[in-house]
Formats: sequence, C-alpha cells, structure tokens
Amino acid sequence: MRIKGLRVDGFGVFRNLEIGGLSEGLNVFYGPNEAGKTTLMQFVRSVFYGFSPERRRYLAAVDAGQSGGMLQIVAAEGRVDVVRRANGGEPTGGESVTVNYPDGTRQGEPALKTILGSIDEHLFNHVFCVGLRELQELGTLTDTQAATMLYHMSSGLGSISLIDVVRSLEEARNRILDAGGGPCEISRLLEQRNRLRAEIEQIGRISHDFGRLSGEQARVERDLAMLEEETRRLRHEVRLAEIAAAVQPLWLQRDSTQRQLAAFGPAESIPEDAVHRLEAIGDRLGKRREYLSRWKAAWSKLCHEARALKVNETLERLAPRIEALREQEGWLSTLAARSAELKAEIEETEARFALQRRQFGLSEVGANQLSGLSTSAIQALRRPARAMKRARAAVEEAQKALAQEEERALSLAEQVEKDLQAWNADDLQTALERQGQAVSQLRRRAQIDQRLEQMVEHQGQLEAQAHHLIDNQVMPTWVMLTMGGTFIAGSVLLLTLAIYSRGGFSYWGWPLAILWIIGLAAIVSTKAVWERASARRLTACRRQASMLEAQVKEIRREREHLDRNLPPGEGSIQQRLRVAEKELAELEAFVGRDAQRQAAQSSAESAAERLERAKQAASDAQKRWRQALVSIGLPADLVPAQVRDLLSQNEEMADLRRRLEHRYEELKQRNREREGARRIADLLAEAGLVSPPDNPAAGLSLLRRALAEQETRQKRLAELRSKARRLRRKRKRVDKSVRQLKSYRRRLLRAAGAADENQLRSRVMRLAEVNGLRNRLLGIDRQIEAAIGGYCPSETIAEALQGQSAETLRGCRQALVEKLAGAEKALRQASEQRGRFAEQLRLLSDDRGPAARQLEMNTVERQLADALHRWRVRAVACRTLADLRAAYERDRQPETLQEASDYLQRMTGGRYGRVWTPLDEDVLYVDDREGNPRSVEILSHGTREQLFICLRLALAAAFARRGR
Amino acid sequence: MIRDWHEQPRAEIDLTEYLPESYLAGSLSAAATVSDEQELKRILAEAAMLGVDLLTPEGPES
Repeated sequence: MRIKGLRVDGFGVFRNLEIGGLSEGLNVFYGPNEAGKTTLMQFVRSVFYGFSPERRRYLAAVDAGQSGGMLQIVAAEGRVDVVRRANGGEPTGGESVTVNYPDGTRQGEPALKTILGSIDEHLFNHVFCVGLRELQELGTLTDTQAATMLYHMSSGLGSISLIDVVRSLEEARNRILDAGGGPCEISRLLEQRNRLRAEIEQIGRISHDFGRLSGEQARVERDLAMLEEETRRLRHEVRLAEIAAAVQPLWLQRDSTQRQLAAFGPAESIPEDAVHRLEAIGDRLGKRREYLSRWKAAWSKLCHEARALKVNETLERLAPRIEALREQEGWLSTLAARSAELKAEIEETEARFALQRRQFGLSEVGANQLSGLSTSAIQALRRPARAMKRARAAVEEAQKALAQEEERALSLAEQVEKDLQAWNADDLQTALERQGQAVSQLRRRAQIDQRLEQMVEHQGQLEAQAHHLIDNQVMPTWVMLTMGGTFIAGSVLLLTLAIYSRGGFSYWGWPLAILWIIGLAAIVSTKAVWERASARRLTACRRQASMLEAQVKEIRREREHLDRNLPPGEGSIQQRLRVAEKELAELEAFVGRDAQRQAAQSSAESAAERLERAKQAASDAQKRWRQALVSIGLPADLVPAQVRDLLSQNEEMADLRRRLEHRYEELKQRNREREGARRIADLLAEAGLVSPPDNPAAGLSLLRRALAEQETRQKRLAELRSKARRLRRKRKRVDKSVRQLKSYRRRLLRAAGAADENQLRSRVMRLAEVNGLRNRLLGIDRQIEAAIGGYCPSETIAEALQGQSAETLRGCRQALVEKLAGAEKALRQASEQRGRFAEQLRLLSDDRGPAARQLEMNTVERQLADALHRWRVRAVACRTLADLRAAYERDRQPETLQEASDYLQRMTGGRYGRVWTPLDEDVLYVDDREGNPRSVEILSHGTREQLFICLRLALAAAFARRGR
Repeated sequence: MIRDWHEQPRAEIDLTEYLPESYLAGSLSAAATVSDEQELKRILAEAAMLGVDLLTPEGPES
C-alpha cells in the first residue's frame, strides 16, 4: 500500500490543503518549526485509525462540517480514496469513514480494516509512521508482529529447541556434579564413601574388647541374682514389722472388749423395735382423742346454723317469672323517657316537612306526586338537558370565533389599505410588476459594468503581451553574443590550425571543422525559428485585441440604452440595486398579507354561518326539554338547574316523611309495652312484698333482691347438709381406728413377755448394751484385717507381737530398713553395669562386620566411577552444544536483522556491521568493526537513532514483501 | 568439536571449567582431565550419541 496524495479539509493549521502526485520513491516535506510537518503525520494516522482523544485537539478550531480529509492510496484493490470526518472537536464526538473504490462503490470501516490488514495502530505508529518520540522507543515493539520478525530466530532442529536441549543437558550434568557446589549425586557418593571408611576403622577397634566384655558380664549377672534374693527377703521382714507396729493398739482393744461381752451372759429374745412401736401406738391414740373433741364442737355449730335459716316457698315458686322480668329491668327504666323523646321529634319533623313543601309551592298532594317520580322518568330528563347544554355551549363558541375572525379580517384590511396608500398604487399586482422590472434592469446594468471592467483589464493585458512580443521579436542580445562569440572562436581556431599545419589539417582539424559547420547551421536555424514563432504570437495577440475592442463598444452602447430607461435614482448602481431589491421583497411580503386578509374574511363568513346553525340547534333542544318536563307532570318553565334542585330536595322530603312514619310507629309500640308493667305489682303482692306505687322498676328491683336472698339461703342449707354428712363419715372412721390401735398394743406386750410397758422398756435397754459391745468387737476385727491387707495370715502377726512392746518393734523395723537400702543400692549399681556390658556386646553382635562394610564400600566406589564417567560425557556434550549455539547465533539471524545490518553498515560507513539477537533473549546487540558485540544501551544517541531507523526500514521492507 | 577431535587428535580434554571450586584441590581434579586415549574415544562417542538423541525429535512409535 502506498500513499499517492492527500487532501486536508480541516485539521490543525491546514484548511483545504491538497497534495498530489507523490512519487513512489522518497518524498521529503521540509519546513521551519511549527510549519505543520507533525500535523501532517498525525493527519495520516487519524485518517487510517480515527481521531483519538489525543488527536482531537487538532480539530478544536475546525468547523464540524469541515474537519477531517482524504488520503489517496494505492492498495491491492487499486487506487482507493479513504475519507474520514469528525462530527466535532469534542473528545466524545463521533466520526465517519468512507472508502471510495475506483468503480464508484463506497464502503465503511470494515473495508479500511481489510486494506490495512493486520497492521494495527500501534504497529503503524512505531514502524511506518514514526515520530521523533516513537523513534527512541524500540521496546514498544515487544509483543507485536515486528518483535516476531526481529527476535524469532530459528532455535533448533525441527520441533527441538537447542536452548531447551542445552538447559536440560546442563541440569543433568549438575545433578551428577553441580558446578555451583550444591548437592548432587557425586557429592552424596563421596560423603557415603567417607562415612564407610570411618565405620570400618571403628569396627576394627571394638572387636578386640568383645571377649573381655563377655567375662565381665557373666560375673555381674551372678552378683545381681544374689543381691535380688537378699533384697526380697529384707523387704518382707520390713513389711511384717510395719504391720505389727500398726495393729498392736487394735489387738489390745479387741482383748478388752471380748472380756466385757463375756460378763453379760447368754442373750435374750425381744423384738428389736418393740418400744418404738409401742410409743407410736400411743401417739396415734392421742391424736384420735383430740380429733373427737374438735368434731363435737363442729357438729354443734352446724346444727345451730341450720336451724337459723328460713325459706319463702311462694317466692321460690315465682322465681321463673321474676327472672323473666329481670331481663326488662333496664328497658323499663328508659321507657317513659323514650316516649317523651319520640313525641318531641315527631313535632319537629312535621314542621320541617311543611316548610319545604311551601318553599317549592307544592300542595301536600303535589308533594306526594313528586315523591312518586320514577328513576326512569328522571333519566329521561337528563338527555334533553344535556342536548340543550351542548347547544348553548356551541352557540357561545361560535359567537367567540365569529368575533375573532371579524377582528382579524378588519385588522388585515386596514394594514393592506395603508400599504397601498404608501406605494401610491391602486393595485398591488401592478406595483409588483413595475418594481420587478426595475430590479431586472438594475441587475443587468451592474453585470454590464462588471463585464466591461473585466474586458478593459483583459485589453490591458493583451497590449502588454503585444509589447512584450514586439520586444522579443528580435533574438536577445546575450543569445546573439553567445552564438556570435562561439562562431568567431570556432573560426579563429580553424584558421589557426590551418596556418600552423602548413596547408593541411592535423589529426584534430577535420572533426573540429565539421563541428564548426554543424554549429553554424544550428545557429542560423534557431534564429529563423525564433523569429517566426514571435511573429505568429504577435499576430494572434493583435487579433484578440481588435475583437475585444469591438465587444467593448457594443457593451457600452447597451449600457447607455439601459441608463436612459432606468427609473430616476441617486447613488451608485449597486446601491440603487440593493434599494430596489429591498423594496421588491417588501412588496412580495404585502402580497402575502393581502392573501391573509382574504382568508380571514372568508373565515369570518364561515363563522357567521356556524353561529346561525348553532342558534337553531339550541332552539330545538329547548323545545325538546319543555316537552320532556310536561310529559312527567312538571311545569314547562323550569330550567335544568331548578329541576336538579327540586330532585335533590325531593329526596330530602321523602326522607323526612319516612322518618316521621317510623317515629309514629315506635311511639305506638312503647305505649303498648308500658301496659306490661302491671304484672310486676301482681307478683309483689303474691310474694307478700310491699311495692312503691307507680314505679314498676323499683318493684322489680325489690323482687330481684328477695329472690337473690332466697337463693343464698338455699345454697347455704345445701352446704350445711353436705358438711354434716362428711362429719358423720369421719366420726365412724376414727372410732374404728381407736379400736384397732388398742388391740395391736395388747398383742405387742404379749410377744415381748412383759406385763406392762415399763417392764418392756428395762429389758430392751439391757439388750442394747450387749449389741453395742458386739458391734465394737466386729469393727476392731475389720480394722486389723485392713491393716494386714492380706499380706500374711493373722497368726504370723500374732507370733510377731508375742511378748513385744511398741518400742522394741520400732527399733527392729529401723534396723531392717537400713539393711534394705544398702542392698538396693548395690543392686542398682550391678544392674547399670550389666546394661553397659549388654549394650557394648549388642553393638558388636549387631554389626555386619568388616566384610559387609567393605562390600558396601566397593559398591559406592563403583557408583562413583560410573557417575564420573556420565559427568564427563555430559560435560563434553555441553561444550559441543555451546559451540553449536554460537554457530547458530552467527549464521541463522532473522532476515529482518540481516537487512537492518546492511542498512546500518551503509549508514555508519562500516563502523558497525552486524545487528543480532541471542538465541534465548529478546534483546539486540551490534558488532563493531572488530566484531565485538555491544549492547544497544551503551551506543551513542546518534548511533542508536541510526540503528532504530535501520530496523524500521527493514521492518517496512519485510511487511512490503508480505504484500502490505 | 567431536569431529575436530577425530580429525586432529589431541592429548587430553580439560573439563575443570565445569568442576566446582571446592573439588579443584581434591581427588576429582584428576577426573576432570581425560588423557587416556581409549577413555577419550569412548567419552567422545557417547557424547555424540547423547547429543544426537537430544536433538532428534521423537517420531511416531513404530
């Protein structure tokens, strides 16, 4: 793709800038600072990749319709125009792009992306459209296609990476023997070998001591057995002494208790709890006697209260009737008051009803008829009422419209009349035609002036051209002098050669003579052609001048004719033309106003017709309304509002009437109910009670209280009867219990063999003392057994205590304890000695022996030799592959870097030759004249810029070869 | 390198550059220098086989 031209409609400082015919080679745009070179570069970026927020600042001073421009490019599709425009300079403004193809088709952004291919904006800005800033940023090419071209070096054979192979080989070599001194197979084997050597030496020393250790161990074993036996015996004797000392006081107590028990003689047979049971029987008999005294008092009180209660049997019979009257007690108290309220309310309602009837002028009969109006009759009135309302509204609206239209027509007519008077014309059309003709003549007059001016100017140019041609008709002096000088010099040279060559030309003479003749012919022919061409151009110029003069005369005649026919006026033709055009525009406005007047007049007539029709419709609606009133029996002169009030009042009157009837009915009911109060007096008399006169509520209250008292007495009597029954049942149970207790006491005394209670108590106390001694003896035996703890039979303890005092026993025990401590100490020492001998002998017996260690040593030596051999093989392979890697980096650099190397060599005059990248890194090195590699960072600023330019030229060439 | 050795045999191969410093003064320093001709040929042959194996892509199993 190549850019052939561009057109900037509006971008930065440029407006309507057009550059075309760019060559296929190098095109240089040069100029001072701020001339717009960077702006042109940003314009190219913008057309291809849009107005980014950074580039939109170039649109800030540009009109929205003229921002953007076009690039003419030659792509694979042929010559294509790419047009991009922005809708405004705002950062969020929209933009549009159009791609115009040679066949006239137009496409949008997708077509542009197809043309650009895989060259994105980042790559374009850093390879193809590079500014000074991007030139120094080589790192920004990372992760792009350009980086692939720069750093993608063939790194191996097929799918095998040489770097990976070298790394894996180094890892394998370091696993065998780490060059950094870390853990590895050979260091492990060396440590193992050293350890085995030390162990073999140690085993040799220990084997000499084995026999001596065995003899010592047998002696220690014998001593140990004897010491263990002695220790066991001493421990037993010490334990026996301790037990005997502990049980000696208990032993003496047991002997004393046995003697006391023997003094009581043989034991008696008495129930164990005889005394306790006898006392319990006595307590229970006492409680029964107390209860019987309380029972008698309660029974006496009960009989006295029952005799005091009296019952009215007549009142009890009348109880249902009194209960029925109790439900009406509250109502009876309000009955009289309610009757009085009803009478007052009836009087007030009758007065209000009569007042409303008089207000509408209705008789009592008429009012009753009004109340009989059905809902359908009232509904039938609504339709004519609404029709009449709509008709009246239509009349009012038509009247308003008529007034507005008449007022508008009158206003427009007055304005048109004033306009015609101002123009002094009776007819607007005539004035309009007259003014239009004046404007046309003035325009023609202005055009004639302009054309005449152009012709005069052209006439002057023709005269100047004629003078110039006349001056140049003869060949210029310097040409004549040049040609004459050349002719004279040639002639002198020929004559000189002829004179000095003595009658004939030398070797150079003839060619110079022929050259002189050719030059002479050329001079003569040039002079003739020059003069003929000048004469031809002069003739044409004069012909044009004469034709122009004739045209000027014709136009001047036309101008004089127009000046005579023009209307009188002051000022220049242009001023008069502007005045005439302004007047014509005003006249055209008058025409529109007259048309408005006529339309307003027509509208007013239409409004008058609509008003007449509305009035007729209102009259018909009123007739239908009156007919509807008469049909339901109402006066025909009522208006809808009056009917609406009458209907609303009618509902209120009907409500009053209904309420009055209800009150009459309720008053009758109350009067009937007051008759029932007489039954209360009858009940009072029958029950023997005295009632207050004419107060049924008080009588009823008296009856209710008497009945409540009667019920209370009945309840209390029932409770007393129930209580008496319970008391009689309890008395029977207590009498039976007393008899049983007395019988039980007699049987108990017989079983104990006692005549009475005192004799029984003395025999029981003696038996208790014997049991106490037996229990004490039993406790001492248990304590002695616990102290012995089953260690030995009690007879052995008895032998140890025979004839021994407590002091003797303690001394004997102390001597035994000291002997036991000495024996245990000797036993511990012998055990430790035996353990040491056993450990030493175990180490010697567990050892695999020198032969096994030597075998292991040989194995390690063999593994070490094998590992060393493998390490040597891998070390040699590593060195070989390092040489191979160096050859790769020397001979297989990417094509782009090779091309960049050529550019750099030419730019730097051979000072720097080769640009290359290592096999396993994305960095660049440059070899100097001596072949020493140098990093890009240490190059000078200028050399680095040269390098980056070379790289971009090589990248551009690579993309071009790919067809982009 | 291996081809050079076969074409122009030399007396020994010195591999001490791959030996850690702690072993330079020990018994392994002698092992880093191969001077025996038979041993030298054997090591070079095995190194060549190893290099070819590593640089040959694994083909489909037959």
